[in-house]
Amino acid sequence: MRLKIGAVGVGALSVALIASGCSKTTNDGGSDEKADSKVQAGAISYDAADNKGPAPAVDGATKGGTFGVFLPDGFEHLDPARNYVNTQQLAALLMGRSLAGYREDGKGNLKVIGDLATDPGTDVNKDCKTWQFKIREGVKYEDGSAVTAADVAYGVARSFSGDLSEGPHYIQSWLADSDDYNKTYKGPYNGGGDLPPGVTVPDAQTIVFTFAKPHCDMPYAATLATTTPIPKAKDTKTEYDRHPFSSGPYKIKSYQIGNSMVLERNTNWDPNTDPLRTAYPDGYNFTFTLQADQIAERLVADAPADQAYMAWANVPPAQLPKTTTAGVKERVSQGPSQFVWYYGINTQRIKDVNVRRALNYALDKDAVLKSIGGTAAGDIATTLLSPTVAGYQKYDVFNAPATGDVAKVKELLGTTTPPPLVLAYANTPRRAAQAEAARKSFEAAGFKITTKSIDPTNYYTEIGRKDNPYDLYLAGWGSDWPDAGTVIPPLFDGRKITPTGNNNWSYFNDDTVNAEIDRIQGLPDAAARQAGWAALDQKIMKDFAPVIPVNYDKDYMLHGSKAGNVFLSDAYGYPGLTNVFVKQ
Amino acid sequence: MSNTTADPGPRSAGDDAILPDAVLPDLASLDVPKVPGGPKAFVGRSPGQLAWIRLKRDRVALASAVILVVAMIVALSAPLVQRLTGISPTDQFTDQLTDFGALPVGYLGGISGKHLLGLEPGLGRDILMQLVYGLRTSLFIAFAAAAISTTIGVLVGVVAGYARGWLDGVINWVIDLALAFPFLIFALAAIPVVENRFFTARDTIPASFRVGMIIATFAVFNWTNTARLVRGQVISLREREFVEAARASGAGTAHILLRQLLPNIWAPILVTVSLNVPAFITAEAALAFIGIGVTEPTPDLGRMIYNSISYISADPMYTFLPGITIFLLVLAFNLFGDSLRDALDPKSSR
Repeated sequence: MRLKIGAVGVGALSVALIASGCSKTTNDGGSDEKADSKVQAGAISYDAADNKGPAPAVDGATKGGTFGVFLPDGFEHLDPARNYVNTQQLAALLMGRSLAGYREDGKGNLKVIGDLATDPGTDVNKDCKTWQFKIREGVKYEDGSAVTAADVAYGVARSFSGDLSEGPHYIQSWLADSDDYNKTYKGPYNGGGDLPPGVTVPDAQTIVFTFAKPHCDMPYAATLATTTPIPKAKDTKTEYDRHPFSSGPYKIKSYQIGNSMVLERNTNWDPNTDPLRTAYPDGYNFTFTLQADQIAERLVADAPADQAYMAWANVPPAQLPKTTTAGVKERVSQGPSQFVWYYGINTQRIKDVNVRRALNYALDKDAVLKSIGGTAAGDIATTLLSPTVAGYQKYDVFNAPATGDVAKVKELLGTTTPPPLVLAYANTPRRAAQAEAARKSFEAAGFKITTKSIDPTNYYTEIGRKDNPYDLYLAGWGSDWPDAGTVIPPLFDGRKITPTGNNNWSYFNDDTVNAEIDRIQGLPDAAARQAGWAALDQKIMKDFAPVIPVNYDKDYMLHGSKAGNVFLSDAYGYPGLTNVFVKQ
Repeated sequence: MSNTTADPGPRSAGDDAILPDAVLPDLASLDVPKVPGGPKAFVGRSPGQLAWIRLKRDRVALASAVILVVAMIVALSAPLVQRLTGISPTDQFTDQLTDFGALPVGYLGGISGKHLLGLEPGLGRDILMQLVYGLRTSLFIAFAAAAISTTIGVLVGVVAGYARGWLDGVINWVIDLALAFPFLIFALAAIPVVENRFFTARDTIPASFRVGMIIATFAVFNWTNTARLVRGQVISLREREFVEAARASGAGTAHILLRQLLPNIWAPILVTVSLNVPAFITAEAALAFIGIGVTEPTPDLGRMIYNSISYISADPMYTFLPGITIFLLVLAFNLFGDSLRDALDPKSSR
């Protein structure tokens, strides 16, 4: 999944000129969590005890109260077919149940278990081609009617529609056996049936997916909102974003798009049918109108009205010093997320691998990271895969110091003059500063760099055009589930390149790599796949260097003193909502 | 089409014959040296000299003039400052920033012997050099825009005021049209479009082009004030006897416009310029806030303030230094402009 590029804006100026300017700033760091490279243990659990409701109780949790979330942008989509941004996915978990889900305890244990289904999917013939899910008995919508397998199938069917194309397309592509998933079947709005190809519903509680090729990741794909049930009678097509029909513990009480959303209990939800959600608060408030610095300031202040709120926005660099004092630092959730930031090198223009290697040596990653807040914002990256991805192996093919290695650049380039390069960036203060740091370090190494600003709302659209006129641009990518199969194929499979909407930002296309991707995806054993991806990660960087890994993204988010059980979700990167509570 | 501008009355440089009556009482009360016990000695002075004397006596004018001269010297000698300190404005001293939060290490935003005003958080650039070069950008844009818009305004205003009839009508209509355009929205729309017109996505847009665009935008929107002012002055002067006399003695239009009328209206023009410059400095800073100001890596005071605002509590010096620089600059210009008006136009003085 992508990460918003302009995540930090500058809000209203708060007059808080305190005496901190007279104290000495030292470099002993504010981050207590030093060794925070954790690896996601993404286990799929078929254990009956794990898959049984109700969800395990949280120590010290109490029922009641209203929990709040501050976030700087409104949700673009809550429609399950269009939901591909982590904040929206986390919010949607309160209102919609997909076939499977992640159980997390905040200590790094991550299990995929059945959510709507009784287990995370049965591989009927042990060939990863036929997956059967049994819907739990007694799951009800907000109007009291029962959730059926046909509703899940209908939800998948409508996600084939071209009007609802913003969501993930794993299951659709697997069913259609093509990346161009809606070429023949275009969903029920465009004359198609209510059952997508390859999906059968033998009875009201059973749904079966049949794929042409083995897809052993189906339990993970089933956690995406794509498999959320939607009754056909309640489908409002593109209007569904405004009011998803709830199958979860909460339903929408009021929703003003881009302003606020209030959730209240769905009284028809039965905790005994749900192994994932404790649903302690009586309701949730989402406030979309505050900027990141305002959010940070309010949560640092911890006024009574804000104590049961948490932030879905990283603390901006300027506010970081305030979060290291006692009373505040306990309320910071920090740690690595699954996102990695890269400088994509447009390989259509920069064909010489030595120039790409030289660019890797030239970049002063330390300066580029400091320009966005230093270790609070991330750790310096050398690999394509994030440390959170299962099977991640640490390596550094260049072994350059974090500040770059100008001598090595000169050695690699020899007498060849590097071509003048264009570095594009999203026009926000944060990204402009980062681009300037990068420009300076490339130029110090002898490259001629032109920087170009792009409107932040169009940024990914612009760099995703195959014929974009730029050479270098920053992009962030995170795994959709802790498996490299959701990182390397979307980013480096050259056969997926289309005229627009690319995620292969370096437009890298190499037959040996493509063949290796196919080979690894066909491996039946998860451990062998993980080892394969890790080796391919290293091979791509060593032989082709199509990107410059910049930093592993880190989250640093505040919550109020009455927000209980807040921790960063390993699956989604941000703090989750399903098991929080309001301290009484 | 009425003349709404205040008419300070005609004055002529060095022509005693048409010295206006209004100046005389002032002359007696203000500018005659009073020798205690002795007879009053009358000294003949031109209005220009009188204004200069009044200006010199004004302590506010003196103080603001000193600030302005220092600022201009610093801006002009920026490369010299760079040579003295050995630091370029784009040099990044990231090793002197903390790993967590990237704030400058040390007191008051990293002030040290090498970095007299400290470092920028994040990028670690030297604030002194950013200010020196930022001052250069701001002053250049403000002066160039003021010069261009005043030149256009004076020419158009003189022509409109003197021409009467349809030409005056047309010019007035154009002025009204120009005034109806919202400045910020136009700048926001025009600057990127023009850049795309002249440069492809891969071209390096020279910093001078953006600067030129900003100057041109200011000029396009600000000549109207000067033009209206000058037109009003010219209308009130064109029927005066000295113009009649010049015309009677066979002077051409050019002579009347440039030699008879223009010398009589230079005072209000000068005041307009002195008040336009600080207005442009703040307007240029404002452009940075909507993302169409001077772009990185050209140092710019407005962008520096915009970037520093969020650091007001973490690193107050970073916000304070560019803020106080632009504040002093604009205040000095405004006070100097006021003093200049008082000196040139005694009728309006306290």
